Amino acid sequence: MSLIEIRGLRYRYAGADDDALHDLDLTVSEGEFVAVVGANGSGKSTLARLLGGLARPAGAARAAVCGHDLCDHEGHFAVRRDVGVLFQNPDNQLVGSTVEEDLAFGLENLALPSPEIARRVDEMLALYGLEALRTREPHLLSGGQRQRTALAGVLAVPRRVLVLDEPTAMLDPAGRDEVLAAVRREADHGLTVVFVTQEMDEVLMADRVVALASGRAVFDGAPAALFAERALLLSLSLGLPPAAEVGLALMERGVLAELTLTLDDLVAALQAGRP
Amino acid sequence: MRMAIAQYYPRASPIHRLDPRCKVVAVAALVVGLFLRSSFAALAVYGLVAVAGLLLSGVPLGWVARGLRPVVWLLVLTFVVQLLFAPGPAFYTLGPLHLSLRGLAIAGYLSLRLVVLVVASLLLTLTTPPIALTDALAWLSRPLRRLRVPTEELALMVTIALRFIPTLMQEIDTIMKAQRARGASFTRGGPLRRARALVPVLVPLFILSFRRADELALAMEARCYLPGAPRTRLHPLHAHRRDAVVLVLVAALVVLAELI
Repeated sequence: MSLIEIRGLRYRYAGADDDALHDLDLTVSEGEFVAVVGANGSGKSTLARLLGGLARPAGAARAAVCGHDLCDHEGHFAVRRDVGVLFQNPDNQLVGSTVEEDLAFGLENLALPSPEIARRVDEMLALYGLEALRTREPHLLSGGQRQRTALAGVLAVPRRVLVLDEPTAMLDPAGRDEVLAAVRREADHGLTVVFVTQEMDEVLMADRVVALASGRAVFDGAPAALFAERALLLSLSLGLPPAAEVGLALMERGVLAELTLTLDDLVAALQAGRP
Repeated sequence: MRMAIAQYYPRASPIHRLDPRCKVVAVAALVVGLFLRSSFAALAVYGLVAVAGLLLSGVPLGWVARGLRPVVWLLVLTFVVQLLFAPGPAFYTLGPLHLSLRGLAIAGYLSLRLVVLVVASLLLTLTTPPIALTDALAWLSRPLRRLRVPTEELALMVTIALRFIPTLMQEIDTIMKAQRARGASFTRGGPLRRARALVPVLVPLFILSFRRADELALAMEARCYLPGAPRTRLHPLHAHRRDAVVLVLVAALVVLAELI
């Protein structure tokens, strides 16, 4: 079943001369993990906002997300209940004065009874390894802890789709690993994920990747297929995942017969070729 | 970076455990009572209540003294002005200076009243986290909602403002470092020059804060926040019997102080 079914989506910012998104098509099935890539200004973040019901499209032939119509006034509010959005800067997403207060924020907005909020907050604290930080103030957390708290806050409200808008761009490598591990776990538990990113090794986490250029989808397929199209990658100012860059260099020097994308594949290929 | 906002001093004392609404009402009653009746006897009663509260709260006296520091000048000024300009027969005259016993009494009374006033308010802010204080004020101002005052939204605004103070302090620090790296100095020159040196700090701070506010608003909407919609709380305020006991006790003491 498709949770996201979008045909001919258009969006234009107030006062802009041109559409930020033109005739965009996107279908995402339940449980699928889709990466969205593109250069700055290609419309990735705009798409993330529209999917989360945080802005209304200028128009679309069809714009159904979790059964709600994004173009509809009621629909774009209702979709916020089912789609969680995690943004880039954790500092600008934490509302609560402590970790537990922040996890409670979304549940408080749904006006759930206090004991139910407390139960759900405890669950999320345990799941995200934040129990020891329960009463810690946001400014005393590390970057990774902040973004993990923000993610737990988004998912404290049970969601059907998680939209991530470059959630690791401001984190150090350790913080990035923390957040990616949490995203991976949620995806493994069947959550549908749309992951907007500039990091090519994060694309490898996805089942499918959609590339945007100037507000249009110019590629929709498996990550390996995208990385095989060198000309397209160059035109989108995108690179290869770090292990694949090494793989490519080895291939050009005749060490490898074909391109490997992940570190594991690269090591396996090198070991297989070892005399 | 750890900062004392509103000087909250965390402890597990009986005063800390009281419902913040009870504390706000009790302190308000003491302050109003203090101004209703001018007598040393009444002042003594209110003073004893404030001191008893302080001792029960277990907040170190040094911490309380820190809270009194900003009003020291006001205290000295009040005392000196009243002493010098109060009418009455002089017990000491030196040139134009004219000190009277009545002046001494009024100066002593007004200064002591100021001390009791500040100690009573400190008792509230020292033993109540800012967020609990905000919640209490929001609850107590509920009747204003009939007049369409958005009390819940105002309380959330204050909570968020408090949450962002340390973040903004960190940001100021970063901007000042960046400006110093470009040759700015914040310590050189007179007060005017130093104030002017802050302009290149405040402009980026404002721009960053507006951007921050936009992103925060978006993140709040993404988490189903709708202004005006009913909300519940993770930690709702709970009044206990002890709060009622304290309120009755404070009411009795105020009546006593007003009668003697």
